[in-house]
Amino acid sequence: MWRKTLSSFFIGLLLSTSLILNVNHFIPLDVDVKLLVGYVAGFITWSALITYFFCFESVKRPLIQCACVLLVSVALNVVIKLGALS
Amino acid sequence: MKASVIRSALEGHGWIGLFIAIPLFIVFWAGSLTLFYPEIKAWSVLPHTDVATATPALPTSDIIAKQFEQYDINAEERMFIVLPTDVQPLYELYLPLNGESSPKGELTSIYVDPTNGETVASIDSFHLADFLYGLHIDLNLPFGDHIVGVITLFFMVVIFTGIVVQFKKLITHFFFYRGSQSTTRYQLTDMHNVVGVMSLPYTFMYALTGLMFNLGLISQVVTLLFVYNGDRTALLNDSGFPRITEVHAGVEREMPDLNAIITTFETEQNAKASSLRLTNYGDENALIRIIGQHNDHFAQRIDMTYRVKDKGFSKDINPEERNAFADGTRFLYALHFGHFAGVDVRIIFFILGLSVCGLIIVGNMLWLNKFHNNKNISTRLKRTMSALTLGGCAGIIPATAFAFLLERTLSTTIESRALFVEASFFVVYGITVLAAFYTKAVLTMISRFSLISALVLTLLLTFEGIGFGKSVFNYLNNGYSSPFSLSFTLFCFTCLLFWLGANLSEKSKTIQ
Repeated sequence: MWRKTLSSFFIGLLLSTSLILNVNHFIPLDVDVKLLVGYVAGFITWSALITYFFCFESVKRPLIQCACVLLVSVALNVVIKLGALS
Repeated sequence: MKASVIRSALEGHGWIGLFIAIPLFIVFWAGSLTLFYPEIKAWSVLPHTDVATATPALPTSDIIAKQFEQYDINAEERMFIVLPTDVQPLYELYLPLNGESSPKGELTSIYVDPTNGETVASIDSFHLADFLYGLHIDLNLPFGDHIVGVITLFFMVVIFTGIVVQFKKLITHFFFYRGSQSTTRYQLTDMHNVVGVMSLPYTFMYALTGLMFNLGLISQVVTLLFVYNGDRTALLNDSGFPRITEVHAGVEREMPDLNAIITTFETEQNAKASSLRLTNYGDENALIRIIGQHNDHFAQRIDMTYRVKDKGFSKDINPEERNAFADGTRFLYALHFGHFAGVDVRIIFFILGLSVCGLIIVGNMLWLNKFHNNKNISTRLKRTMSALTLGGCAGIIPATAFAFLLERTLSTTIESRALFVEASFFVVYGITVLAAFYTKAVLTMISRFSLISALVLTLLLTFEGIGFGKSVFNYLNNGYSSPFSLSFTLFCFTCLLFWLGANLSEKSKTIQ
């Protein structure tokens, strides 16, 4: 349980942050609305991801799934960032 | 949904719930009381004052001028003024003073009589409302806001896992209660489910807003680093919290009439002003910020800055377009603390808050009941959880009663008055938790806690009746009902606790 709690806490934090950064980049809204959406949705996503971990008996499966999504999401963030810089 | 998913979610629900139960209970208990923050503040201070409320109040500018005569105020720093309200007739002033006694950044806080501008009392002496507020937001611990933030995050997870477990039965088993014919465990489960489902929108709102306020730093840091590349000013501007500052010019200037500015603000914005922030007061570059609430729009804060040298609310520092982020977060803050609501809605919030406290107790009892005969879990852990549930939950009632008693009875001349109030809460709370470790008769213990609390409140009410009765009724006759209303509520709670204590005592004798 400790392993599940700690891994879900940190993976959830990283993945929710990365996902919200991606979503915020693409949604066509005013900047203040984007900030509010990110602020609210970020915490809900984080909690939902931790909950997702707790819906499995072992930590391995959700960890692998989330790690894969995180990888793609981070890569997308890097591409967006590089695109913005160039 | 697969049975294994529900089983895992239930396991997680119990595991997380067990760890966050006691701090979450304290947060909800203190939060429920904090809904009446202005009333508790008024109850604390008003009976100690002798404000002739029938006399017309001095203009706000004269009140400020009086403070400059009495105190060595550093006008370059910002001073805060909370205007009198329907609940609190006194001004609350937070002044930056010059000299070693007042380190930079620290403010001297005082209550001021609106009729003559004289200092009535130090705000710090009447600490109960702020103590309860602190207990709610950070448990009065170092880094407590982050600790409470993490607890709230897991509270959100507990809500989500609860929904996963209950999802299929959310509608069909709504109000499902098996009554006295079923076992204690089934009764407890039904109680937990019914209250949990009914209070779901309320608990979700509290979990989300609490999480946002206490762990908001994470969101700020991420946005600052990855979206704004470290440009803090741009972030503050976009989020509707621009930093409006002016350098102290060192050129004296006569200040405008504050009441006239407040009236202009209230008329133009259709709002009610509640507080002022004065920067560089008396200087060429003075700024007067007025904060109020819109009269018609739901929980909408109006925040305008008057630049003295422009003789008006200049457009460059008061953008016409409203900011969704600033409005949204302020709305959520108002929702969390019930600022939008009258006493009636806050009473409903209070009852819901206490229901969540009940939900937590029942949740712990369920866990203890479920694992009572489980040999994989150590007896020590089960005993500790049992004692913490008993002492940590039931013990908060006498602890709060003692804090209220000292807030009312301690002399205002005692320098560490606030410390005594705080210490009394923690000492009594600690004793009750310790006592819970050495008892096996749970009902007898709860009965004693109830009776002790009732006796403490009786002592408080007797003292209040003798020492402050006249003052309380004087305020009531002048339209300030908070001291009386709170005392009456305490009287009702005293009766309830006597009744509860006597009933539980009878019941425990029957069981023995």
